[in-house]
Amino acid sequence: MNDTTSMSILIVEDEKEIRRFVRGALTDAGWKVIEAGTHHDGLLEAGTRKPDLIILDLGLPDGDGVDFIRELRSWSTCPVIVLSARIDETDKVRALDAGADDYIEKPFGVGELLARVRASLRRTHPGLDEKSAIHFDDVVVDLAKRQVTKAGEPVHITPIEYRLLTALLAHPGKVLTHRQLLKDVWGPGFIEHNHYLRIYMGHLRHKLETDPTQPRHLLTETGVGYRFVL
Amino acid sequence: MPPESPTEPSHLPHSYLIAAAASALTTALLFTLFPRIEQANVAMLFLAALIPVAMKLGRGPASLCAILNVIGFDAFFIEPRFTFVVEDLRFWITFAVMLVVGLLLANLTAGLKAQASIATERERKTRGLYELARRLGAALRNEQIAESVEELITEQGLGDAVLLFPDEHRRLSPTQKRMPMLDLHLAQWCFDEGRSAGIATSTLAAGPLHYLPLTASVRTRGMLVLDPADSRSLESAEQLQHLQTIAALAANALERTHFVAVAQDTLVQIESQRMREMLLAALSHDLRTPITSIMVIAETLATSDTVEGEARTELLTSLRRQTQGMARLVTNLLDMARLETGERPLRLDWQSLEEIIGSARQALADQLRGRKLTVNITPDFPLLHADGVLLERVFVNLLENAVKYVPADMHMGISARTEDDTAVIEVWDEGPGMTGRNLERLFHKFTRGAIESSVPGVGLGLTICRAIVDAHGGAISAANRPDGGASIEIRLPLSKPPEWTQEEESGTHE
Repeated sequence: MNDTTSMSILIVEDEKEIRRFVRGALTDAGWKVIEAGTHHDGLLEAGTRKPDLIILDLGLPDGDGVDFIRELRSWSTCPVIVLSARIDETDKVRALDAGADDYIEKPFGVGELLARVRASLRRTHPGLDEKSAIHFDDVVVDLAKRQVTKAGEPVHITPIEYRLLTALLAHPGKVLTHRQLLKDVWGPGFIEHNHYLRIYMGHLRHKLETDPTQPRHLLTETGVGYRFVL
Repeated sequence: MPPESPTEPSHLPHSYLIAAAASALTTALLFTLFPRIEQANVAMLFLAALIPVAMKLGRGPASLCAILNVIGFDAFFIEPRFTFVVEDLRFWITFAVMLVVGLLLANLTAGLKAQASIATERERKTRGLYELARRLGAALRNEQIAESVEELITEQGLGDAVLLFPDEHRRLSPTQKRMPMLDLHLAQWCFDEGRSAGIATSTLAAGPLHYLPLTASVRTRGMLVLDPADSRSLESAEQLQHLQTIAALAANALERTHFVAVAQDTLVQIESQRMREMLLAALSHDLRTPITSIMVIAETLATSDTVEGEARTELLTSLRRQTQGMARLVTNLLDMARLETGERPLRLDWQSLEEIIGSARQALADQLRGRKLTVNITPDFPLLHADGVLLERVFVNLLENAVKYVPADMHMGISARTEDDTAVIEVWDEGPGMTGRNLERLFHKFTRGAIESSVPGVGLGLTICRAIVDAHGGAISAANRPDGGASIEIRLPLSKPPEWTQEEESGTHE
């Protein structure tokens, strides 16, 4: 398990109650918390204190969260999790495509918050490259041998299915947008071809999930993308 | 076809020739009948013959005919015949009277004919205006007004016309109908100033076109631009007035359509307002129960020291579920409002029904825990062209309802199949079924009328399901199953599946 306890997390949120709640949850889990109430202060703190993760509320009154992300991304690769009020899934997709790493929908619970934070922190620290195999349920994905087995039996996976699977496995717990997946697996010319994703994710679910209509690892984030959870 | 001006024939030189020929013909005819007819009668007949000539050829030629008739009368019927000499001097009086009467007859008859023509012309114009007024009375859109006016102007022979309308910034937009010489800037100026310009006006009179603003009582609503049929079309004051009358009718019609649009917008706003009020009322009504539950649980946990272990966990779980339920309710209401007002357009994309059902189950994980839910989708079930988020909402609502109604140990399920080009999805359960004779009413809980105070949130859920399914061009209906339990059937039209290239299989991946 990565040692993330010395890390600091910046929360950019104008509502005091939410800031208090998140601060409490994060400090209980052992992280340091920095607070900012506006985009302007948020960017300042991000620049000076250099946090390891930023939690940004998309509904801040003093600007567009997507602009904040773009501005930030021009000089920082710090992971960003956006808080959205679920008005519209396009807000989340825009934020993710602009450079955010994940999102949490309000209202959310502590468990969900911590899971997303850990998943995003994991990204910047050694992940897939160091592992030789990934296990979930009774599935084993052997990255060295490029083989997949379920309940000990080999599973026939096509090259594209394998590429898709490993793209998801590389960011456990994190959402990947349709656009990102299509670009990574098929190439930039396919970013409008969501139906490929649907078809291939369906194949993967049927091959690897115990109940494809109730997936536990290859999750769908409707309107946004997909998420692999261990 | 421009009508012939009533005086035109008299301008044609050959009319005079025809008149002369008519005179000669009359003379010849009467000559053959002479001497059986008396001279007096010949004179009368000469005069009578003038009438058709006057009616057909007009004033000038008829006058010529009158003169020639007198000469002919003298030459062929008065002694000594075949000369112009007159023996009996009384015949000079006859000639004089005949000439005067002839000329009078010619002129009056021609005048009468001209009057008749003018009257016919006026009647034609008036009938045209009447017809226009009638068609404009039925016109609902500016395009219809433009069509009627442009057609009439062409029919009436005034020329070729085009109507221009302003956009919301009061800028004239060019029309689809082409008028090559149209100067949009000039038209805009006329529109802004409310003045006419071009041919037959005092501004830029040398221009090829006539620009006429369509102004009714309040403000200018458009522009009429006329390409006259010929340079003389607008010469007479009457023609210009005719055009202006047409323009006035058009302006009035435009004003009417404008205010009709304003009234419609207001109606829509009133409707939205009413919808919002109903939804707010529903919201406060349906939130009361979960809020009360949360208050009670929170108080219990706060005041009682003895709530521990399992009891405590149960209370906390219940707290969480109530909150989630409230969040779903609020989302439903928001989406309902936005769907109704068109604020949330459908975002169509290729969706996997399996994924959508999976997500819906995920969203209701707490509620569905421990329940028997079977999902059966036929293996070749195609991708659906739908709005994923909204379709997921449909299944969340249906499953949430089922959970409320169906006892925990009874089966529930979702099945999906295709029938020709329709997807048929059924959400069923083995619960008590739905009460009420008219199950259709379940889908109408929040339209006009009373808000039903049955199981909270059920009504709105189904209403939203219907709104979403309808928006997809599908249909949703409820029925009780013959073996007991409820069944909701959703039918969605299937679109042609998208092209995709299968990758080549390469055996078990190495």
